[in-house]
Amino acid sequence: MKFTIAQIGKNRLKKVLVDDREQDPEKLCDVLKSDFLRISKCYMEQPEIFVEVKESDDEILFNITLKTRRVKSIGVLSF
Amino acid sequence: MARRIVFTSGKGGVGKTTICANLGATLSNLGFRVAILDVDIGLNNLDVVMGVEQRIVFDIVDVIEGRCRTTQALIQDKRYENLYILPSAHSYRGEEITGEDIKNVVCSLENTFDYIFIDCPAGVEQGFKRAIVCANEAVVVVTPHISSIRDADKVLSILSSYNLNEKYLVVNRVRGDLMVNGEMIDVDEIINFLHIPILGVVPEDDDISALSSLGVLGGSVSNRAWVLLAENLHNGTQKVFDCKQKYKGVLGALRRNIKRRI
Repeated sequence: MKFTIAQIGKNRLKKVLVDDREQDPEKLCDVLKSDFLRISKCYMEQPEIFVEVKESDDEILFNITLKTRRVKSIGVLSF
Repeated sequence: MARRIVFTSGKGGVGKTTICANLGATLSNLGFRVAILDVDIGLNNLDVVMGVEQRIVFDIVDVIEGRCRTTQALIQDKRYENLYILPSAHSYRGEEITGEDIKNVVCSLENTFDYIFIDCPAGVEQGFKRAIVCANEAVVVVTPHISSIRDADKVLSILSSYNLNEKYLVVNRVRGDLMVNGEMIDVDEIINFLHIPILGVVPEDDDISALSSLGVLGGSVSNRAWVLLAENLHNGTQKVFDCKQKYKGVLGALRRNIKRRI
């Protein structure tokens, strides 16, 4: 199959943009974790957070899992 | 209250200043009061594009340093009576000027104009950041080339950390003949890659380069594109100039062939 110049350009651009947007996923996950941890501590005891990043051509998917043994009762929430 | 719009791109030479000037002229023709600020301190070009370089008495640095009022530094365009230009300094250590300084200048014009355009320097350094903080909307200018689109994508990531209400895309220097031939990335593809609403498409126009040497705005091919761009900006519509139209069909194939041979 023969590609046109525009199609070749499009494919190259897609690769370049995906690489650029990747940034530093581990660093981003760490920042996200610490932010979520800070907030979730207001609502639950000893929360654990797992962040996973999945990237496709046109979107970035963040899977955030939050685990805890006990949720604080609404009356004693501290902000 | 004026709409404060910054024209940016990341990459240099994509036509930010040309788009800023022509869109300003078109809006002023439609009856809106427009001020264009050149904040590319030390590398001023707007004055030359607008043909006012011989009429500069004060510039934006004079305003910031209190040597004149903002209205004294504004230059009224001779052809478009609603269009004003605030030129940049031709030599100055730009690092001494802050975004807050420029913001104050912009604020002083806010009640006098309908639109304030901020012509941003290329790159993503201090000059770029200075320009962004003054605006509440941004127009990102790209050409259909990988390097330009890549830089625009990086600029968009940076812009997302600023408090801007809206971001629009303008695709400049579009060659309809190359797009129909499959030799240039299509405008729709660029929109898909960058995920921001399109404000307009400006075709490649030989008149723009020729007229810019004379300090004259406009161009025979692009005139309709400027009007659509102005209407889209004002009305929030997305009517885009079809650059491919005249290169379709039998007659279009002939045009493409001739253009290729010239």
